[in-house]
Amino acid sequence: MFPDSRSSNPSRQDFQTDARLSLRTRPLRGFSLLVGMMALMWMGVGGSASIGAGAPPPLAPNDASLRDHLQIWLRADVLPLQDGAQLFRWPDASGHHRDAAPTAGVYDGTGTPPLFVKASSIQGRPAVRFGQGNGLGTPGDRPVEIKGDAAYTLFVVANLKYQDGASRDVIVGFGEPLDPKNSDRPGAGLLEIDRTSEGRHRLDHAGGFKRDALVGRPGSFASFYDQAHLITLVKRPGPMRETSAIFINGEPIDTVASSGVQAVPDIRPRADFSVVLGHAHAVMGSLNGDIAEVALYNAALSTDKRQAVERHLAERYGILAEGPADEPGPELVSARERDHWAFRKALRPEVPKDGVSSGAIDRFLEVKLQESGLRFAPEADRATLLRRVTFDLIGLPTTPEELQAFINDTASDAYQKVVDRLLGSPHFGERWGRHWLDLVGYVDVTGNDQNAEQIILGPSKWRYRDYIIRAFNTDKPWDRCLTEQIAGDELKDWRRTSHYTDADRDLLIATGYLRTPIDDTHEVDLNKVPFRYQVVHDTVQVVGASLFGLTLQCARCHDHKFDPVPARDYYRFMSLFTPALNARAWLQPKDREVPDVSPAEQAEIKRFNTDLDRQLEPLVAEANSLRLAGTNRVLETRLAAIQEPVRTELRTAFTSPPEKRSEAQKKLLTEHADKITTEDVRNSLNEAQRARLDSLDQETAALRSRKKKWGDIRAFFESGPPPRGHIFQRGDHERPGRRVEPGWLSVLCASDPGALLPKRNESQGDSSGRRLEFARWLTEPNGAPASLNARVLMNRFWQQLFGEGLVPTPENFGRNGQPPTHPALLEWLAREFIDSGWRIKHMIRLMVLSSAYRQAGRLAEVSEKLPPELNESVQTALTIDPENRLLWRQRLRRLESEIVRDAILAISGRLDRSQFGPAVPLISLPDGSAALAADDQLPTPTSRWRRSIYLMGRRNFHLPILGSFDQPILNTTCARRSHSSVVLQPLTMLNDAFVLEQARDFAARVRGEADNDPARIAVAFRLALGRRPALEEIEWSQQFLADQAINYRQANPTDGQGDASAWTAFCQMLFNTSEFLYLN
Amino acid sequence: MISPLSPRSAPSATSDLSSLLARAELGPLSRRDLLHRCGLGLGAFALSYLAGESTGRASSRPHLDLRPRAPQSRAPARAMIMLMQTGGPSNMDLFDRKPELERRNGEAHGGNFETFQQGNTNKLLGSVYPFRRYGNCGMELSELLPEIGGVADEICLVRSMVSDNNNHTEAIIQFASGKILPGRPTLGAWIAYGLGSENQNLPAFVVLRDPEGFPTSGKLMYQPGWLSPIFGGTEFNPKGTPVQNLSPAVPVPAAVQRRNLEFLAQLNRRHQNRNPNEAELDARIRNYELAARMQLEAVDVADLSRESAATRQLYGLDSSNPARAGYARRLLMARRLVEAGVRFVLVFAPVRDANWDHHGDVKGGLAKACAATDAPSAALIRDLRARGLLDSTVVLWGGEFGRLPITQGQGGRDHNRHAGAVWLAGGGFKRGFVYGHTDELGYQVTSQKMGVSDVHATVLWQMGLDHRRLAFQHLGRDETLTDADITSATVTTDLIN
Repeated sequence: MFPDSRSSNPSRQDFQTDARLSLRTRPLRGFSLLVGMMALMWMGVGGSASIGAGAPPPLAPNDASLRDHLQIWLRADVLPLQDGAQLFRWPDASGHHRDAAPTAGVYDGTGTPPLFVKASSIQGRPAVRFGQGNGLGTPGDRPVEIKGDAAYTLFVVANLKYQDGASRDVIVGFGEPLDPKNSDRPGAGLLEIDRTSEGRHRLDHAGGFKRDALVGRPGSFASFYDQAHLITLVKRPGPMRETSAIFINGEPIDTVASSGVQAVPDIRPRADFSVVLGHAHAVMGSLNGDIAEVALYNAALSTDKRQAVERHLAERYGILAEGPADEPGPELVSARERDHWAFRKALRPEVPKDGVSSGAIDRFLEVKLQESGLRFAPEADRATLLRRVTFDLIGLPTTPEELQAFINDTASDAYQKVVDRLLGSPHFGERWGRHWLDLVGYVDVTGNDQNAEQIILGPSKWRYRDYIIRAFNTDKPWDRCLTEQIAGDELKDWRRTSHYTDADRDLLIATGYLRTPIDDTHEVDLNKVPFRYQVVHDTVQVVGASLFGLTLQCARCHDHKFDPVPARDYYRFMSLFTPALNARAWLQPKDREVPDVSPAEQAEIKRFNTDLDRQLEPLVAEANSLRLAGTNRVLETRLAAIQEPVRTELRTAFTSPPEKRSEAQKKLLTEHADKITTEDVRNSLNEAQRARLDSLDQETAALRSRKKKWGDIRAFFESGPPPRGHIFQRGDHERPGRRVEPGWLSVLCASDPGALLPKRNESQGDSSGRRLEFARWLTEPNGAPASLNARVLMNRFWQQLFGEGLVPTPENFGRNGQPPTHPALLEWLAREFIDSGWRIKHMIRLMVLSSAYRQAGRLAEVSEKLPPELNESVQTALTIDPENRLLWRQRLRRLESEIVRDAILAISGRLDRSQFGPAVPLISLPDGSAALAADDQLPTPTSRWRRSIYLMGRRNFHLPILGSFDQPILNTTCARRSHSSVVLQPLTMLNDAFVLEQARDFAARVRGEADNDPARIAVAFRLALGRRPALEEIEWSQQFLADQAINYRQANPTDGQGDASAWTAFCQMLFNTSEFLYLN
Repeated sequence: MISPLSPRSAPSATSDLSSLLARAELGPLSRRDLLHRCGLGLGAFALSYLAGESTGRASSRPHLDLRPRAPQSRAPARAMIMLMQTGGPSNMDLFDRKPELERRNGEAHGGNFETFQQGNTNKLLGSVYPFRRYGNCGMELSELLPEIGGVADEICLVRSMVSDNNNHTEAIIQFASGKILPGRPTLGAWIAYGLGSENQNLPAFVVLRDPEGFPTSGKLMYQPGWLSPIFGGTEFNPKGTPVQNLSPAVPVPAAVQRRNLEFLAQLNRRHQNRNPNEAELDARIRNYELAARMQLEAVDVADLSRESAATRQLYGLDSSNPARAGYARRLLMARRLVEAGVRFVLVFAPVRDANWDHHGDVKGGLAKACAATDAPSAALIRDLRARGLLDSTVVLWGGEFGRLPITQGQGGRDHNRHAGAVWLAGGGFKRGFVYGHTDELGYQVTSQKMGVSDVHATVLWQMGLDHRRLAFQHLGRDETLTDADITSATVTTDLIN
């Protein structure tokens, strides 16, 4: 690491030098004016704190204090060549005259000259460009003074290009990699890229063939391609593996021991050339990319010295690995900005004293109504109310029995009882969990899901969906639930837990919250740094949207234009997640699945299964031999009936293993031999054998069924030490700017919060604890973050129950969103939510028990119910508040896509109410539409009739009935669904196979439940619309049934299905009514 | 909410109303219903809604319907057909002749090309087919494109397209929606949003894709993003039933269906009467009418059997090459749709054998892709011209990026976002015109560079829409297709008459 700027004593002189340096070497190219100015401020121009204040001065590679050890120093910026010229000599600036030259022709090698480029890929600075076959070497008669068990330090400034083909790229090396005399002692020091396996490129400090000392983790270098970077290699005397360290941009790389021989090196010079770059010799792999500078020392530089040189090079080449440190500059968020209604701490407003209604919610609403001379509408009729609250709370229609019971219940608390019953229903979590899943963008696929036919499921994603449903059902306190979702993996040291309980598993499953964004890095071509960063940015977006109702992503490129979210805050916030989503040490999705049992339990399960296998082995062998004997017997009997020479050929064909059979043999078999079935074999055995075989089969089956297995959890966890955080200029990870520490959004803190310093906590194990600290900050009951989070959630709930949020822009609580229509009510709800112990059911109960919720919505009903003298008020209300912002009546709301489908199933009687488990598979039809998988591909026969939340969720490809009713395209999050009315909806409801099938089942159910038409019609209305039919409706329906029976009979005079078909049509039309689709 | 477009006043109240009343059999409002509403004091509301005028605050809302809207400015084009060539057609083999590259064919090259896949060599690969001059304008095109060459004098060729990403998915999404991120509204959706539809019996934005499968990025290319779903592309199948669920999964006798809709209208009207002042319910009832009309018109417009033998011949409908016949079918359908008043038709090139993504064998691949697409594409231009539709229809032919001047594997080319070619025809674009230059190898654009957003800005302009003013507020920001503040998109006036 570079020296910590705050730990040593600055001198004024140093600071000024630094500031000038940084301005000269890092031009503010392409900055927007704003960003440029901010950068200037951060850099300290104008007298505030600055880059490098306090750091020891950088050292040039040939500084007097280092010169004695400097062996070779190659720098491209002194080459007096024309752009594009071939490089025949690279003079050594160390003073030792170890000039490098192409080895082909000059030395005994194969390396052709590289090119000199004036404006290279290293920040446009001069460099030497290596391509296929290019290689340089320094004279063999001037070897570097690095011999035997030596110490050395190597610096390389390069921008390397990805290539495939050969197995290694030698960047810089010296010594003899081949050492035939002493094969177990490394003879060279080579810095190379090991690319033996596809896409797993890593940096390697090698001592020679099979004598690798130290290698980076597989794939760890892939992310450094196409970027200027500084590589440092330090070796002290002693066994190579233990005494080497590699740094990229000043940070140590995570290494693994190689499979090579671990030994104390014995470095020997080669006779032909000494230091090599690239393809200097036939055995050295090609180098591809630009090299600007190389410095090699025959000593292991101290950390201070190494960092000083790194600092010098980094600054000279504009490699901003070490940006200026994160220090509070000018306050970026003003007090006025903090005072925005959404960012303030929620205080409990006083409930208005006057009012007709008793509940707090109603009182707040009434104040505004009264100001406009309005009042709540009378309570909706019972059937309407029951249908409304049942759909709202569990997403299913009421049953006729429930309706009857409610109508008959004259007790004053009849409605409360209904509400409590519904809140206790296991279906509550399915309904309300979905709202949260929308907000976090939950689907069952992992990638961008752009190809209809290619479905890439997150195999254990569904467990998070189930966790959420259960959390809503059990009313898990929301602060706890959020903490688990954000930092479940840091609530318990799961890596060191010997036995996982269900609760432990839940902690990991809950972190699926952070695993919802699109991640396509399972594809080699997409497992690249930009795509990885996209996952990180999307994660920030999901968190920002779901917790804060803010569009943080704007601050990725620049300080947020509308909201007080500086880019610094964005990157501080992002740093909470980068230890787990480290673009430079990336885990592909499959590597983020963790077993749902501990390592000890895995071992135990394996032991147990091995044990079973051992018991199985003799039984299986015996059964096999019995079967073989039987098979042979059947075969011989069959062959006996066939003439030679076919008989012999057939026998050969039969006895050769299926995969080795020739085409002719296969043909022969299909022509002559019927398959020998297990039944044939069994019948060929005698009675005793048969009995034995059966008992063996039973025994083995019983043993096999006892085998244990474990599942996986798609979890979010840290995979290594936290990477350093930076502000990315214009959002570009290749342009890292000022360094940032993890932290919060300043606007939610009383003052600039400074850096987050997580407290150490037993439970977090190896994790940094950043997210746990974040969760604490978020859920501190008296903090502004909790208030904002509670407002966002309460608004979301309100929107769900009243059609529109108190804040009409649920996705935007910032300055560009709309302010709440009832600020005091929103504050009260937020405060009540937190103070009640973050109880979701408590809040929903309060909302649905309010008069506001219970009032009638239909204008006609409102007018009918009001006494004549008040009828005028409807007109007044329509004039004053035509959009019903003040809530003088309930709003008409369309059912969501899933609820439309679930309701159809419930009404037809087909609904499979089983809960949880892997998603019911969807398939892609040739025409591109989605459909449920065939029956034999379903977990159970009735799976196709399960609730929609259990069907496979895709981002872009929905079942027609769901897609046409606005199931959202979930690329990130969805705070508000659209309720469109498009022509595909009638087409679906009139013509889709699912609707037709369900209408048939509905008709059969109706006909079975009563024996005369009027009664049946009444049953159908009760089931589909939750009310009794009106007299005229019964008449219309009877007429319709009669007409359609005739129409059907005329169309199909013989099938005798006229009545049944008419009833199906009737039931289908009930599904098609507007009334069915809307809550009133 | 803001609306940058001031909707042209919709059809007058009376005409709209009377046409509604005339369709009584499909279940519109009856005169009595209307009077009943008026009796409730809601007549003004109902009337103004039906007349297409928004009321009160609602006038400041964004468009939520497909009624035709006047363009923001006078413009030649009223419809657009986008011939999407996903995969990345090879610019230096088809449209951008590079003598220097041909001369150095097979030579090693030391330059750094940005590659995407593995297996690239440093060997330059000259055009695998010779070029020819076509038309009076003498446009140089590959000999594989004789038919497009035959309409060269109608074509405006852009050889200087650049994209931001070398991966199909991202680049295609950018081609469709202006940015590489999924979730934004696509070009067709913006145009439908801006102009509505001239045919109320059909969707404004129709998609014709290869039934063999989805192209990369699939439906993302025609999604409405956060615009209303009514502006998204509706897929028409080029064979069989043109629209999903257009006809019942199980056949229903016509008399039954008629009676069904009658009964439904009865129930819905009663419900609506009990719920006055709910515009949504009215929209829903009208959707059933549209559904009924669409069942007729969509089947009609998709019925290619009405086309003359000469037209079938022109497009190659009966070609023995299935990829060509399929593509021809889609193009002919596109012409019929535009003729019927559909605003935007997105046609996809073949996805299987005849696609444009030639990593392994550019020579063989181009032969197949051109054999399938050359003649039908040219036929579309000729047909539109013959029917007088070309001047009012923008045709855009293009893929998401070009290809590299070096060999990948044995004889393929990798993706190149730094230079690609597209062509436009009709809709007021210049004819027989070539624009843009690339370096001697065709790797990078050297002058007259056009980003995807510049193309978008220009086609919108030709349809009377200003890319800076065609906006929709989303997440607190006035979003546009081109996001010109970020992309610096401009209308390339050099391309237009």
